[in-house]
Amino acid sequence: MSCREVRELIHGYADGELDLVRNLEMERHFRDCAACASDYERLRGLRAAMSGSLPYFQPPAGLERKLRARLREEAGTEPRVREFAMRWQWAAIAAALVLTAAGVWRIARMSLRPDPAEILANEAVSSHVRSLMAAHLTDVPSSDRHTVKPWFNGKLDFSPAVGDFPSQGFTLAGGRLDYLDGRPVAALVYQRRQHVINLFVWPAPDHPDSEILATERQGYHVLHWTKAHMNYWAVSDLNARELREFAELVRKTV
Amino acid sequence: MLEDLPAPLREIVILREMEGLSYKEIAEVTAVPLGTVMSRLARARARLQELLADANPAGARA
Repeated sequence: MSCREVRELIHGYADGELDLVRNLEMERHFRDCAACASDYERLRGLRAAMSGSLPYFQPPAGLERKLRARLREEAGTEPRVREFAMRWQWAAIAAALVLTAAGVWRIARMSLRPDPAEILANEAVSSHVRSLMAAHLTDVPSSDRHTVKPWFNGKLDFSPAVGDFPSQGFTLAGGRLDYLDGRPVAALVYQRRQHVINLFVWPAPDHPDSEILATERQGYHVLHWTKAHMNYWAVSDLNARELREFAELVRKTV
Repeated sequence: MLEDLPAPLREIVILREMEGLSYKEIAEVTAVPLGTVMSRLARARARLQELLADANPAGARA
C-alpha cells in the first residue's frame, strides 16, 4: 500500500470503517513507514484531545439562533421598565426549551436504533458499498472456483462453498475477506452484466434452514437465508427479480 | 476550537466524535453522500489540527 493510499484511508482506519484486509495492510504500512505512523499518531492525539474537551451534547444548529431571534423580538416589544425581568423570564424558557429539545433528540435517536437483523442488513450493504468504493472488490480475483475456494483456507475457520454459474449469467469474479456480525466472513463476488453481487458467507451453527428473506437499503437489494448451517447474505444494485434468481441458484446448488 | 469550523464540517465532527455515528449513519442523518462525509471529516480534522497547532505551537507536534 502506498503512502498516498494510506493518507486517503487513514480516517476510515481511525474510525474503524475499513475492512479486515485493509486494516491489516494499514497496520503493516505503519510498521514500515515512520512518516505515516506519525500522521496516524497525530490523528489519534487530536481525537483524544477532542473527546476530553468537547461538551457531551450540542443541540442541532439553528435552534439557538431561532431562540435568540425570538428573545430579541420579545424584548423589543416590551415596555422598558419590564425589559430586564422579561429578558430573564425568556432566558429561562429558552433554556428549558433547549434542554427539552436535547432530550427529545436523544430519545428519538435511541428509539431509531434498529434490531440486530436490521444492523446486519446495514452492515452488509456498507460492506458492499465499501468494496466498490475503495476499489477493493476482491483479494483473489479469479473466475475459477477451484482457485477461490482454497484461497480462503487458513484465512477463515470454515470453508465456504463456492459456486459459479456462467451459463445462467452469474459469473464468479473472485473472493475477499470481510468482517460482518463481529467476525471474519467470506465475501464471494459475482458479476451480472455491469452489476456486482457480494455474497457474504459465514457459519450459523444453531440456525435451521430458512427461506430467502428480502429487504432493501439505500437502493440496494439484500437477500438472506440460512442453509446447511451457513448464513448467506447477497447484496447488489441488481433488480430484485434477478437477484432472487441468483439466490435461488446458490441455495439450490451449494 | 470547534466553533471555528464551518457548520457542515462542525456537524460531521460532532456526529462522529460525540455521537459515535458510523460514516453511513452520518450520511443518512445529514443527507449527504458517503464520499462527502469522508472528505468533510478529513477536512474538518485537518483544520482542527491546524487550529490546535496555532493555539499550542510548542506542544502541537508532541
